[in-house]
Amino acid sequence: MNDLNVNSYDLYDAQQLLSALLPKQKSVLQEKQPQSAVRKYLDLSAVDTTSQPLIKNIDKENIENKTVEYDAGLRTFDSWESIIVWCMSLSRAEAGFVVDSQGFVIASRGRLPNQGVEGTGAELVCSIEQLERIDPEAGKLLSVEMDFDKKRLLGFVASTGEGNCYVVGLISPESVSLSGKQAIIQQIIHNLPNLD
Amino acid sequence: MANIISVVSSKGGTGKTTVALNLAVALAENGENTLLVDVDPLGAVGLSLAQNDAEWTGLAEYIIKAVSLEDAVIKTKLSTLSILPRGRLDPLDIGKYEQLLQSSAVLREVIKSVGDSFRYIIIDTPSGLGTITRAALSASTFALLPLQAESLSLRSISQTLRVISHIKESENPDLQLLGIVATMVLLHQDSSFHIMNTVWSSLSGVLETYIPRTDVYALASEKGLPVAFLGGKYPPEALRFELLATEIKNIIQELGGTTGDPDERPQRELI
Repeated sequence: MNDLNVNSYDLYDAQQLLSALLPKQKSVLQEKQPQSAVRKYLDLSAVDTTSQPLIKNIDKENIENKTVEYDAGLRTFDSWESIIVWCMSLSRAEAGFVVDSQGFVIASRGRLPNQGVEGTGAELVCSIEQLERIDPEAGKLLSVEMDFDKKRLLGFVASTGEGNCYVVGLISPESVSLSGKQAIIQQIIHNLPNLD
Repeated sequence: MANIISVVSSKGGTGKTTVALNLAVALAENGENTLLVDVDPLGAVGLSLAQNDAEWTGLAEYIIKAVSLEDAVIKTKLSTLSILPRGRLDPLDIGKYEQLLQSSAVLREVIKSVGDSFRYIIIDTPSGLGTITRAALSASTFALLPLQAESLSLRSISQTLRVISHIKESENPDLQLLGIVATMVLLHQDSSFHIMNTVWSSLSGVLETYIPRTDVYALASEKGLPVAFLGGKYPPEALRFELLATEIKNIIQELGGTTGDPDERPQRELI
């Protein structure tokens, strides 16, 4: 379909109900989700889940050439979770996480591995620091993509300019094109002041 | 006491019967004594097994005491799997059947009678959230939600969750949500992937195992068999249900249910 302008799914009620029905450790209710006034019945306005069209103007030539224009229109996100969801949608990732410069996971979404992503996130931050030493003249490392036997891991680096940085990690079965990576990096950098 | 799992969904066509039937088979093939109960007036379990609509006596006859429960329950060729079918219900009597099922508390009676004979009782419910589904949830210890990977199903999921929540609060505090099992998933298709991405990133309680859409289910329906019973190479879809059964057993154990598996085993020597 050309127009992927599907409206967002109002899943706030489902999230609330699941949060009440499931054991506490399984709940992933988004604490920063905007909430309307408390109502007795399910009548909440649509929550911005950022599931906006990311692919537009696909024509036959583009499909045949396997190039896609990404709508990198900059938007405002108020939480790392919402940015992760956007990145996952663009990259078709199964899971996403954000690590600070200390290696602590500060947000995560999706089908995370059973063992979690804390170890992966910490190693990713260390690895990026080492990779930057390969060619200091080349500037700051913006992204990494690693193909393992069983998965592909992408990391996007966003520096705050105060010596700190965040790394957005995506576990995705598919590679992301250069334009897609640029879109992700731009989006993260654009929103960093809101989130730092 | 049995683990009683109702497979429920407000929307039709989400794969309730397919999940109920194949999950029951997977549990039974894993050695668990399992009873599959068809409370759907459509008699979908029987139809899935290519049974004539009026072939089996079952719950409908038991409700009016025309047969004993022992006679209503059908033993299959899989020794650990039995089926309590809908029975020979005239479509014109569905309304009366619904009233009887709800008012007579027959489901609780059935479960009380057979609960010690089975480890798992899987209840296939009709589409919608009417009296039969609510009666099933009232008599169950767990609810399992098939979620078809398409928009209407996702948009309507809160309806089902609300009813489960209400039943748990007002009628059956023992009812627990096992989780949401995604069905008919086609990850290479944009719309299906978009739905699954939203589901995975926004909802908790989504089971790791999901059921892809494949032609094998149509073939199984045509032959009137569960997927694990198809001839030829063992279908990967049957393996999926083995995984689903394992995942569900683990969840039940975590929720404090009994799976019959010991929590601890003695140390063993390999050499």
